[in-house]
Amino acid sequence: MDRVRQDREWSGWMAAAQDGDNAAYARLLREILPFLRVLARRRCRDADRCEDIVQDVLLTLHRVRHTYQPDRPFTPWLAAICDRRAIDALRKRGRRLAHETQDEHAYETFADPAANKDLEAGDAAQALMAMIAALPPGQREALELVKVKEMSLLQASAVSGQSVGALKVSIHRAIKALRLKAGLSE
Amino acid sequence: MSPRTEDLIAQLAASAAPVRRLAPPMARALVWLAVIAAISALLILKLSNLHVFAGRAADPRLALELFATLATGVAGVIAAFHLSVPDRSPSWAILPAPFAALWMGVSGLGCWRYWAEQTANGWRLGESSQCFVFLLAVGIPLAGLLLLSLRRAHPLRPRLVATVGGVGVAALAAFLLQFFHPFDVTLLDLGAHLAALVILIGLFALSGRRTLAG
Repeated sequence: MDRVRQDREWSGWMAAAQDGDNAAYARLLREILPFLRVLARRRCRDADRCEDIVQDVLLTLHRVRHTYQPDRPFTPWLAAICDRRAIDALRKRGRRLAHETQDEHAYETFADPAANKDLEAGDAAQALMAMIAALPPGQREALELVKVKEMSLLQASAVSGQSVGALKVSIHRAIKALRLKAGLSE
Repeated sequence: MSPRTEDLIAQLAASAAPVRRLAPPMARALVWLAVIAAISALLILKLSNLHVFAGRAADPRLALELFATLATGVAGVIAAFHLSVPDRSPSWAILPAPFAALWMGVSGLGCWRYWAEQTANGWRLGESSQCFVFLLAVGIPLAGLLLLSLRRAHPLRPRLVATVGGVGVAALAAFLLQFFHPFDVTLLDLGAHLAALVILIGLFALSGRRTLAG
């Protein structure tokens, strides 16, 4: 019963909007927003894309507002526009995804190899961190404290509980292991 | 409410001038068909030989073919007008289908019968080239007039509207051809007719998608 009353109200506002009542039109567009958002959510999960669809529906409604006949229910007319626009948005997105490859580095890569140094350095740092993580715990700790955090051997010894001599041996072995993993000669 | 959506609503409401409501699709379709019927009647009375036509129309098979062709055209135009507004069912698209099937069936049967009688004399190409030109010459202006009327609704399904409208226009052109076509069709004639109709529907569908979208 509520829906019937709501439809009549919306229909009345739309008819008034067709006759040039801008206040009724603004009120109608605000009132139908929750309804449009529910319909859009049925077609897509992403909130931003849903809002894009809702805005597209508002623009379409504006362009075809002369096709509404006040003697017919308003809600099916509105729902048909919303459905159509949501399907069009999905198709457009499907076509775009089919022709494009997502590459987050694509926009950061330049034709001049020198311009890509930062990017390559970032990749190398990531690879190095992975190799360090794979070291035995004693070697990893020694390397992180002395080479990454740049502590002195005495500070590192106090923090880790390892003797200075043990730290030196661990660091030497860790660097040797990393060189081997990276394929570098000693 | 997102600020961008709120801004959009304010802009739309501020720019909303009064609009003239579009008449119901059936009324628009009937007005369009009435105008085309009036123009066609004038051309037929002036240019065609109605005696020959009346003689041919006495054949029940041809009468049935004429009915099916006209019904396909009328149904296609009515369906296109309905599909052009948002809240009408997409199933309007199948309205011309049964009439089109009847039309193809009856003209195919006539063609086969004629071909069976004529095989002794070999293949005969009727007036195919003239028919081909006639179908395009009549169909293209009809298509233009239909597009002009349909685009007022800014259809949400331009491809479907254009395809169904194309079937309607092609069938109407084929119906009018019968008044200027004093012989039964041979297989090659039917091929030429079909080629012209397919070209018409294709042209209408392609141009319609662009003209009607938006």
